[in-house]
Amino acid sequence: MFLEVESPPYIHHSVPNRSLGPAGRRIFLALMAVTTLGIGMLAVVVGAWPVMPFAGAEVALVFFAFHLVRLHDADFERLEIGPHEVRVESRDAESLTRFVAHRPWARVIVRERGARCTLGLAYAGRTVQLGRLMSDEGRRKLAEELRGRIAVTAK
Amino acid sequence: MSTASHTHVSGALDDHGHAEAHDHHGPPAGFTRWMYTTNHKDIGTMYLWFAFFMFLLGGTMALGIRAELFKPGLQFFDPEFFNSLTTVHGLVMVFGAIMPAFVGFANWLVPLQIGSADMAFPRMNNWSFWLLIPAALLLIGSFFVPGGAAASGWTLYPPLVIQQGISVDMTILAVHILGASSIMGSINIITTILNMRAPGMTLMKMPLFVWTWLITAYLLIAVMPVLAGAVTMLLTDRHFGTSFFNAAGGGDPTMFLHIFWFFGHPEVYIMILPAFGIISQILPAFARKPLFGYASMVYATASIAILSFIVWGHHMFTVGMPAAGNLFFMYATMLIAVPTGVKVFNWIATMWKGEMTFETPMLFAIGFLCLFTIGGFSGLVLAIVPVDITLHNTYYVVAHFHYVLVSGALFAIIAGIYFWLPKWSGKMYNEGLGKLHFWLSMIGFNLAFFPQHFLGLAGMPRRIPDYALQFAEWNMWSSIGAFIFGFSQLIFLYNVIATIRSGKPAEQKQWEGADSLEWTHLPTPMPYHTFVTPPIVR
Repeated sequence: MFLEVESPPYIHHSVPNRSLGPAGRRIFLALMAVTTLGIGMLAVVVGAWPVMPFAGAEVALVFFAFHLVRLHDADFERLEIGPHEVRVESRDAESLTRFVAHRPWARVIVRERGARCTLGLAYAGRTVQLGRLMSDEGRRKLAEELRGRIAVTAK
Repeated sequence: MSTASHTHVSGALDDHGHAEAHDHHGPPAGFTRWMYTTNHKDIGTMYLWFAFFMFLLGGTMALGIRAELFKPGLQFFDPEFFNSLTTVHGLVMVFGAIMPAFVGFANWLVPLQIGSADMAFPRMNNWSFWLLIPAALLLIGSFFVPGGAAASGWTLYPPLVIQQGISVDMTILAVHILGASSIMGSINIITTILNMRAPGMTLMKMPLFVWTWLITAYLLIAVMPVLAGAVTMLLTDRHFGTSFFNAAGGGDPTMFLHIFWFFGHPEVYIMILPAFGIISQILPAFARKPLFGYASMVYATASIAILSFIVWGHHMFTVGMPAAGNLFFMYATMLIAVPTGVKVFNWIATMWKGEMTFETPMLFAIGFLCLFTIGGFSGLVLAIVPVDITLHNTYYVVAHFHYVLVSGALFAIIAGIYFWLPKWSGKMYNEGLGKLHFWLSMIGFNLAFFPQHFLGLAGMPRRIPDYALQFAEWNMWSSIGAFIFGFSQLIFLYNVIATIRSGKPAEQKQWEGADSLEWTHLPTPMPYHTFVTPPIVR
């Protein structure tokens, strides 16, 4: 009898970089809205009401920009290459996707188009995107790291 | 993560973030690179070239003005066209040259200095640049429509502007488009700075340039609706029968002044705060000392921004406001001298006992410091109500704001270009030509604008193509200075192009004392993509 020793799985976890927490975001947006809408109100009081729609539209735009950022706060992508399986778990705004592939039959496809580089994990006729939260150069590095651990094909 | 041995984390948790300088994948070639680019460096470059082109265009108009004023009498232009020149010169320089130049700097430097890969919304970034082109075409095209370009001064005061031709509509549309571009840029900059700083890059560790742009973007978002509303009201007064500013219909032309200057004075700080940021990075680099009083610089910048909302009345002391109102605006304006004084003190203290060298960026930065301070002092003179009532609409005012905006904002832009060009292009500019450019600019600028203080004190009004004989001599010297200053900018253009095409290779850290991330973490020339994973800032 002997003990089978398996190497630990390879895990690549990516998250978007965020330097402002929810509280900071709320404070900033409140400050912004109070200033801009306050000025708009002042204009309305003196009879210059056309300032207000512009102020409102602008505050809405700022809120929308921060909303887009906030939507993706919890985004992540986790690639785990175990002895037998490859798992990709990914969160994009509200949607969570999981993909499990049999390691010997899975392969990473690298597509280079000019400066653009995209990665996909192909298995059983399906392909899922890899490196969504990374830049082109980051994806190239990831592809290099994956060579030797899993089949990598350039297209 | 339970399995440590092969765990890699990218993004905020990365611990080997600054080793991404092995980018062998450059930009796509040809026109499409610039048309569709979302790269912050490309967009920054386009902003800077656009601003320089507009600067040459606005400068040509200025030389036309100075040629006309070289001697008394009408030489080249009829008075109407002269007024169009002063109007479009102002609009082009404010909205087409100075502001886009600073947005160009923001595009280049904000992501690099906070350790971010790009701006938060790269496609919107592309849009905000390309909006500038139709706006510029509208502004310049207004010269060629019946009646000529708007001739009311850059402030577009009614009722004059309500009575002019279609060129005013073109100008209003151009201002709207430029405003939209500025707002998109500001939202992008604010979102980037607040959300995309590298781990460890706390707000109080940000370089001063980033701080000044954060506050500038905030100001822009706060006051741009006021400008948009004001010009929309002009438009509806002209074409839709409203009477916001038309006294005959029950409106009030003075209201436009209040609204315009409520935007206009923060706009002045929008044009000068990023300049403060640039100077705050250049002086410590060449003094080889950290910036003196970093925190007080941040608070002073914020104070200037806040105070800028309550001083608009000093532009209109002569419209007949109550004495209490005049006094309030006078004291509020003088209050701005306090945070500005803090800044000037800190810059001087930074240089004090520093191991200074005087390369071109440092020369322009010191030029800024001396001349902007003169502009600040003449601003204090104008803040005194009885003095302003005498000097209002004279050449003293022209001298004051050119000392603030040319030797202030423009000198800082030029200093910044010389400072970062080696990093951006990977090539070193010609120092001899740079110094020649500085000295000619310095002499030409002072010769052009210092005599205008005397002209204003002697009573010469602004925006006139002809003048009384007693003003002839100083006007001649002013015109000579303007031509020296104007043509010396061609040396700058040549130096920049020669540097990009055939300059000697620059070092990674060309300036010994430079300490922001782009100098300490990135190679020269910089790869097309930088900070793919954010560095850890300690």
